[in-house]
Amino acid sequence: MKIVKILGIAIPLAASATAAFVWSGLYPMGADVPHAKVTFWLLETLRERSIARASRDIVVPSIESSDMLLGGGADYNDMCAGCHLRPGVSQNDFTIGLYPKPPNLAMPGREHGEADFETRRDFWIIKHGIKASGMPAWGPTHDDDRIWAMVAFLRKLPELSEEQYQVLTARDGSEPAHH
Amino acid sequence: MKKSECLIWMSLPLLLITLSAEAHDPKEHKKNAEAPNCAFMHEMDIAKMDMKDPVMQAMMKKCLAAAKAPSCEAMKHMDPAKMDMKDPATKSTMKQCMQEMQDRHNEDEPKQSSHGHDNSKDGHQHNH
Repeated sequence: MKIVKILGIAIPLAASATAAFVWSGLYPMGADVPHAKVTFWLLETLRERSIARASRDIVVPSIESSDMLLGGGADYNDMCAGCHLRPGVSQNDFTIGLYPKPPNLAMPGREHGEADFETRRDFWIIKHGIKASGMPAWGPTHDDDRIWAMVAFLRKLPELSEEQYQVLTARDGSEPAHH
Repeated sequence: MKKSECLIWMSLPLLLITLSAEAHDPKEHKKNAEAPNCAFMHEMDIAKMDMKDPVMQAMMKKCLAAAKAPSCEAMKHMDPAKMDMKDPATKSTMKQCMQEMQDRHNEDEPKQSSHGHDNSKDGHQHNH
């Protein structure tokens, strides 16, 4: 009974304190002030758990094809390289100014788990985007085949040299048509 | 609300959807088309090219499609995955094709360098 009384006071008090803090405008909202460690951990955990749950039933098709690399490479260069970089470029104005900092997808060793999970994760993120991170949802304007082609390219990207990247991403009209 | 006014408001979201779909059509991106720079492939050892590797197959497809050299014509219709780089005939044709690609690149290079230079090589690119 005592615990119920304590909770009855503590919960409304905590809720009021949170509401007062939100309403006060004291939280620094600028992208140039990083989150507190605990806030960052909470948001990151929320994001990763949500993506893991939402992407678990995605069936990964065969993506080991040169045509998919060519289609996905050109799209990556047009839509993603500005924030997620490319071989030979370690940072740019976007990666310096954006918060959270977009991951460098051209750098090896960014895996979050086994390859199959990583592939499903990439597909889900490209298709649905991530709230309040600057990552848009490409699903409304790009069909699944086109998104899988981008995923196919992402799987190979960390191994590519600058020269290979240039060849695979050049849009000279010879890349295979999307279906 | 008048009927015409109502129609304008209803057609506005449709127009925006159409515009966004058009912007993401690959054909739209081709306006900024850039030719693949395949010159570095000339330095590669043809016999060691792994034609089972999708990256190598993709580069071969891209470079052969863009090549204007006469010796490359025969190879354009071949499936890179089925090319046997240890076969002397394939190896010889490929070598000739790459040599011509290199020669053409060397001819084009002075023209390209006169249009400016790529300043992203320092590992820091600027977006404005």
